[in-house]
Amino acid sequence: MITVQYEREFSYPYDQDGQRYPRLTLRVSNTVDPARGALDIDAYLDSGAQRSLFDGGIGRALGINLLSGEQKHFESTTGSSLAATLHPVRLEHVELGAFELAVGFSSSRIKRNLLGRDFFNLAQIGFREHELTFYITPKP
Amino acid sequence: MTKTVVIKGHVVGPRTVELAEPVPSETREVEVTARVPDEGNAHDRVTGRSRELAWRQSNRDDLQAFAGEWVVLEGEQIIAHGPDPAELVAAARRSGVLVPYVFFVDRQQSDVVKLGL
Repeated sequence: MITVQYEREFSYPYDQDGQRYPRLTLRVSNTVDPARGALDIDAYLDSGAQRSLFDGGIGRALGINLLSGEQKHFESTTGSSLAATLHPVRLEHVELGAFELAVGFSSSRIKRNLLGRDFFNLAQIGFREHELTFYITPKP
Repeated sequence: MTKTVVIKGHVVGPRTVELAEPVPSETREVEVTARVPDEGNAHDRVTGRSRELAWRQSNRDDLQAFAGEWVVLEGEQIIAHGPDPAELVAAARRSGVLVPYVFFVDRQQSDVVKLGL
């Protein structure tokens, strides 16, 4: 028997499409230029994504120059790819605390901000899909 | 394109916003739909947005009026909506919202199955 203990439990919140998804509401700020302010955003837990990817408009709102930063191509299951640049941000959650992460900001519009395995590397995360519940312990 | 929407008794009227910086023409449509009360937003600390999340859940169907757009919500007031979150955030900050909460309103489509990307 393997037992994993978690500090926090969250129900999947409803989305505007009437479905429930594993999602966190986070405060995001630009670690390079915090004076550009912060935003509260929704971000979806996606264990299939190698890295986190946010809409480029979120980056521009934080004063991030999307033409700078390391370029990455995020590839979907269809084989099509989406260009993005990596930029360091601070993510804060009211219960989980703060995380520092280099997030990809898309060069074209996306509808969902994704938290990928780079975020999963900063927190122990478990899912009970049947219960529509997920569990998190920061800094495993 | 402008819309006037009534959500649970809140009349939301369109207002033109002058953008401080030029933006691509396809993203120029932004509406600020409400003024933040004088006390402004108190979200200088991380709150989790429980009030906004509860409002979103109870007004899920009504929010479909903004399907395909990003929305800035403060408390129970829609502050701005449009295609570009960066423009909405700038407009919300000009309205006094220091830390805007911005989210995308997806369409209710029973025949669509979503992947992460």
